[in-house]
Amino acid sequence: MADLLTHVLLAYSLGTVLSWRYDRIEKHHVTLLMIGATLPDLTRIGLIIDPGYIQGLGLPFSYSPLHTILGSLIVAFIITQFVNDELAFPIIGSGALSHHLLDSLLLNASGYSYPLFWPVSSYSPPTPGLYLSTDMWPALVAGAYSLVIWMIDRKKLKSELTLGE
Amino acid sequence: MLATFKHRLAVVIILTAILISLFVWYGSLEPDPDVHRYPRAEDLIKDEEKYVGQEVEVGGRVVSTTPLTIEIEHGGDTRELYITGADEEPNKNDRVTVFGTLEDENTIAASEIISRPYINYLYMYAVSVAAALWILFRISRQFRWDMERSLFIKREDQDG
Repeated sequence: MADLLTHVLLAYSLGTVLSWRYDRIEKHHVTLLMIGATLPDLTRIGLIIDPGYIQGLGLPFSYSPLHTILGSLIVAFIITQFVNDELAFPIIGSGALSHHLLDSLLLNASGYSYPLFWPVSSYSPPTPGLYLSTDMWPALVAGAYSLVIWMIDRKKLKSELTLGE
Repeated sequence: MLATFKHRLAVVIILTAILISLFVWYGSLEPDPDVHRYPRAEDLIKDEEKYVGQEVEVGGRVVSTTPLTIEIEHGGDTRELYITGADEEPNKNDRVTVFGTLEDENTIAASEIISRPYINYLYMYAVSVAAALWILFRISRQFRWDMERSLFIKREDQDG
């Protein structure tokens, strides 16, 4: 995982830019995209419920499937059941995919990322190792980028309001 | 797309069951170096001898720097491992991920080691919590929860 903030900032930027291009995408869709971008890191539930304890009950167990494309799309679809919006699934799902895209670039000791496509394939693609999840610069870069997007968005909103008057 | 509450509930239950099955399935997988699924901390803790001579990838906390020793942890059990051949010099309490060959039960000959200061870990968790709060704030401004239909509905008065 890159830190969650980087994922969420980039999802914010992506969603906002998409909302400029497509009228159907509104502010709350940007939020749904941001939610989607957090989903693969639900594996962090392991900090609260340690998989080791569940294994101690005699059941093989791992949260890793949450951090695969299929697993995060399943979670996205579950969440979609509680959102009254026809675009909910494609948007939350896209957020999750953006997370995988970023995480596949993470530095890893073995040089290979993680089995993104499991259970369809166990293949872990080689990773270019651009950054660590504990590095601070990805969030700074993403933050600066999001700030620019936010400012452009404010400007657009203002000019639209003026036009509307 | 959204059907009756019963229909939606059925979808949620079925998908949750599939997810839990995936958790169990993945947990039952043995390490497989051919697909770069190397033995990890939990494998080494479960069976220390089985992986001697194999490549392993483990994460842990530095408990001593001379010799470099890390503590790995799983399900409340811990073990200490010596790391040889490291080209980095982590400090005590740093978190490291080591890729290398398990030479004997207690020693990894590292071919790659990534260390991160503990403070960076705190940073990562702090900004991640900030990100979660940002999202919660946006949800509360842009959506409302409809009790009767058990649905989040867009607020019409939202202003971003």
